Amino acid sequence: MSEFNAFKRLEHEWMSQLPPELEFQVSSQVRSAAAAGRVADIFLPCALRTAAHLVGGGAPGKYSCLPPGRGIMGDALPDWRRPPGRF
Amino acid sequence: MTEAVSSSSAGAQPSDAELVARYLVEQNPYYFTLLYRRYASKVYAKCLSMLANEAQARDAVQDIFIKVFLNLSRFNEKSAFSTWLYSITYNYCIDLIRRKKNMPVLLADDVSRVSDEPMPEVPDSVLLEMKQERLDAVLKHLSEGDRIVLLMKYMDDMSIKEMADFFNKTESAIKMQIMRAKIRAQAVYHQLYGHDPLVS
Repeated sequence: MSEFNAFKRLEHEWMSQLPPELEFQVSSQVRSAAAAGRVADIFLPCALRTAAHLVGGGAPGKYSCLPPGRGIMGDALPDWRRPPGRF
Repeated sequence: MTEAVSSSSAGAQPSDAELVARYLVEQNPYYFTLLYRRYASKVYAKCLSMLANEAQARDAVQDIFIKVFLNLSRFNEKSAFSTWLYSITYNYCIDLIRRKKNMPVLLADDVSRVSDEPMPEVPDSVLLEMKQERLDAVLKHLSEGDRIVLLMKYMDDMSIKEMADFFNKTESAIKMQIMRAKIRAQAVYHQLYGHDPLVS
């Protein structure tokens, strides 16, 4: 098939009509998506593990992303709470 | 990082697969921008040819590249990057046409049945030697299905088998669709310009 048939010529004409501002729009969307992806990569696994702990799975503290003493109840009961059955 | 690509591109341009691999390792959007620069005009031409509307074609290019970007990790090197990109482009535009026109299928059902009726053979030269602006006008008057099969065959040089695989039809059904599209294109030309395409 000829390289210069009417379809190819038409394609070249259409190709030349690509709006130049599209590149900026696409690359800014790509940058935002990449940044959002990075944020998700960092925080999502942690958030999911924390949610799993809150719901009641896993050994507390072992896989926790939270700093020690924060969030999920630690191994020991707090001082102010008496163990049940000692009244 | 960006400089590294620029300097290497001064000698030999990195291949598409290389750019994808580098993006996946380094997560630097610059590599994707290079892919965009390589293919945006082709993708835009395809969208414009299928959708026949500049604003829709612009939006489609954006959506397609974002879709490609989000699915880069799914790209396997079994096919060329361009083949993968163009199939996403075709699928996107066909879906858009189907949704807008509320058409469940793009190629009419009767195309699946190969007709026994003899059909006049329209030589390829009728379309290939047409004046560019007239071909543009003729394509705009054709149905989406006819337009797309003609563009796939004559603009993208897709084989009948590739088209059959794409549309999930038999090769004879695709041949029939092309033949009918050529006949309709010739009729539209006659209607618009008052004579047959090969008569100048």
